[in-house]
Amino acid sequence: MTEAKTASLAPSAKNADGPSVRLQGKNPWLNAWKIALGVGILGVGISIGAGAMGGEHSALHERFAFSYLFAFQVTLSIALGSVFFILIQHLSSAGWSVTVRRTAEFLASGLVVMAVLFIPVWLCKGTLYPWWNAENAPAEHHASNEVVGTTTLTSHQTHGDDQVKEPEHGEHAGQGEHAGHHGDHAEGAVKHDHATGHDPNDEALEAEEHHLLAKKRWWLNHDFFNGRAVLYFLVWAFLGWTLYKRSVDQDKAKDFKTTNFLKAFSTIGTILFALSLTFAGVDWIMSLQPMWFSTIFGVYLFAGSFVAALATIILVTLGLRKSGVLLKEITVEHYHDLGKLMFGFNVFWAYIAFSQMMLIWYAGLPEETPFYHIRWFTDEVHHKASGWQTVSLALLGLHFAAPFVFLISRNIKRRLQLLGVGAALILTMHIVDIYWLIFPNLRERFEVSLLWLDIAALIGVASLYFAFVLHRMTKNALIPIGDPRLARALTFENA
Amino acid sequence: MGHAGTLISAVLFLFRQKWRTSINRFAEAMTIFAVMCALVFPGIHVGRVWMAYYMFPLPNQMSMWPNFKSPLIWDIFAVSTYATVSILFWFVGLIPDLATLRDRAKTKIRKTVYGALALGWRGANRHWQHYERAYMILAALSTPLVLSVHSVVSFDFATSVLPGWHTTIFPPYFVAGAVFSGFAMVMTLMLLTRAVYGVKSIVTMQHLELMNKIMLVTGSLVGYAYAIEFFIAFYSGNEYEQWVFMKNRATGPFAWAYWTMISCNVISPQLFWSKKLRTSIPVMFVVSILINIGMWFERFVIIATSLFRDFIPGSWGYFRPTYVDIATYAGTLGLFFTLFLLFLRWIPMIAVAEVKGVLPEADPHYHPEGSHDDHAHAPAAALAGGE
Repeated sequence: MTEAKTASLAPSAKNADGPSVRLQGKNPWLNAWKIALGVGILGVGISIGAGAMGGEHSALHERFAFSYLFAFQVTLSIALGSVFFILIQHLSSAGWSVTVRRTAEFLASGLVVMAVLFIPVWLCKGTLYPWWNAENAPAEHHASNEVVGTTTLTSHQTHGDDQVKEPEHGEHAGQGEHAGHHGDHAEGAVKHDHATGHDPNDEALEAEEHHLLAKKRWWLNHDFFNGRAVLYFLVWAFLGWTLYKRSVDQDKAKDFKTTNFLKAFSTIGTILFALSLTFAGVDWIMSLQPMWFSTIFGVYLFAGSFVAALATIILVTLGLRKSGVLLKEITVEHYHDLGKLMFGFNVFWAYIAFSQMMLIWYAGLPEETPFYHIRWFTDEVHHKASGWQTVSLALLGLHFAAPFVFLISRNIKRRLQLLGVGAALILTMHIVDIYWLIFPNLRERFEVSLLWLDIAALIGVASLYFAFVLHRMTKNALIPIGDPRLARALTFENA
Repeated sequence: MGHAGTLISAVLFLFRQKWRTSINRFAEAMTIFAVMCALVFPGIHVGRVWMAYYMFPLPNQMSMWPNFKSPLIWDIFAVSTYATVSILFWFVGLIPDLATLRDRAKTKIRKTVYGALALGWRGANRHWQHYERAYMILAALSTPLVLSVHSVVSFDFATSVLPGWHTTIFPPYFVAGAVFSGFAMVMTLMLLTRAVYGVKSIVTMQHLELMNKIMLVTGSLVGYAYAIEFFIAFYSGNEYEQWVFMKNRATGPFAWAYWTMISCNVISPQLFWSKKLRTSIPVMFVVSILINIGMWFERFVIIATSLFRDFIPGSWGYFRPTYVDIATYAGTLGLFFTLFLLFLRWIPMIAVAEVKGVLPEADPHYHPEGSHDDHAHAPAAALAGGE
């Protein structure tokens, strides 16, 4: 804004640094990281407290494990999506996006704290992943003692004891405490037969699942799982921090060498990104239901993450804009382009989601369909619609259809408030998407009344991450003032 | 093969990649001819060519309808939609060039034919405005088609329960593979045409290099898909999947085909990491041919290696093409090249009007030779695909 005296509408690249690109004085964003830190500690504290209160085999503890995994995955997806945004800008030598890229770099820098935030997930791995404790257990043991219903491995074993206490329900304990999941008496009676464990079909299925799990041990075993987790976090911290650090160093150096380096780095970076995101998705989300598999799953997570990151970038820059910075550096032209990307990749997400659903539904293979069964029916015998059906339909309607109709118009993408509404909707639905990926794995043990714990965990984990990101923002210029392509971004206009 | 056309025309257009202008006409033409060749096959597959209209849901006295639950019928709709939009897109882009041909025509027949096809184009401002808008809308319409056609083709396989065919990554994997092989074919044909017709100053090394980069990216995406298929076959613990990937593909009677596919599609494009290699005409020519071969083998591997060992061991065998298979394949190649050579003969192979628009001279602030202000270089930067 200091350049207002010049006739040019856009600030010049030579004097790009100034109060319009830095958080200074009374800018409310200067202290935002402290608030985020406080909220984060409070949120994570409350959820960990709740989880610890119940004791190791309680419903509360189990719910905490899932809540925390959900919160972690939402946050991780935004950070990883931002990494991809930066990589692709470097790879394509993009000029238009230079001013926007810094925001993504801040978000990507937060990857260095993700390893710390992962610790509670790691501690709860036995609660989360049915295969973790099932290791080396003989199939017969499970079939006779702990097995209930048709999906044992995919259900959970911590409730095996409770089962004995409430045989008349024929389902897992905890389920009787809340309405909505119960069938009528006749249904209960049918279940009773299942619960006694004498159904030969169930036992055969059980034996088959253990047989299968034994074949999956080469991937799903303790040491390999831990080793891979370490590797992912090393890769991500390396990617996020390099992309961030080299760029902010360029603010001072103002050299082309950094730009060339980052372009070369992004080639390797993209490969590392694709592989780590895919296999982390297999490890931490797919293996929640260890019998299930889908080759497109990594692409699905990628698409969701990238859309969520674009929505977050739009919302963060709009927030900064409100405080009076980045008025001329990130203009309606940039928002329009971000909006187009978000729109396009949201359609891509829907395409991937449809491909997976369509092929699994059409082929109807017993290994694959349970993924959708638990997101649609209350149980696998009676095919009664569950609450998850509403969530599944909401993803179709509000993650895809509504943003599609809303954001297709050029007019709306160029009205910042409306674009913000679209971005907020997409980000919210991305959170619902991750929720939908994780919580149905609780099956009958899912209790709507514990929703507060999920929200507390999400606010807590996301706030801790954003505390770091926002703190980075106070230390650096909000656009890459040393980037040689800055002039192109500052004068950029949509054709 | 038919995929590079829409990608270059529509997706690169929407991404403001102006370097596409010198290759888009070429790629679109290739697309249309490839789709024409593809549309021959459903006719053959019906079994009685004279009954080909059975593919369409036409009301008839026997109340016989195609099976709408079959991906094969979706294929008919997907490919014919794709063909329609591609032809429209191609033709709309051609109109200004057809007018140029009309204006320069020397014979009466040419004047009449080009004149009719140019639809009265005079290059007026209003014409250009309508033209730009129509082109934009067609580009937006084509973009979902880039995904839909090959996704539906992949459904032909993936909706089945056959190991090696049924896998959820097939739709995006087929799309990436189609773009990959399409670019390779454009490259092969372009290099030949470029040498014969001497358009080296229009299709520059920079264009070729960018195409090679796209091949590197899409080849790696295809490699990712191969790897994930293999991984999930083992992660799933499903012995049938493992059998297909290990015993039928990686080792076994068709291992030679499988490893040809991997070498050509995944390994050979990795040469393009080196700037020296991706700007070498002989290297890129050889690699583009290898990719064409590799992508042919990809379809061969998918189809033959999932079928040659049936569920019943008694029907196991080894696929050997008959003279009918070979002749059919040779026939499509013949059809393709006939159409393509006619195109080169009768229609501007490079989008004249579009290339004019991105030349440095087209810039109102252009100063020839010796001037170094920023404006003069802006179009050059745009050509470089920077924007």
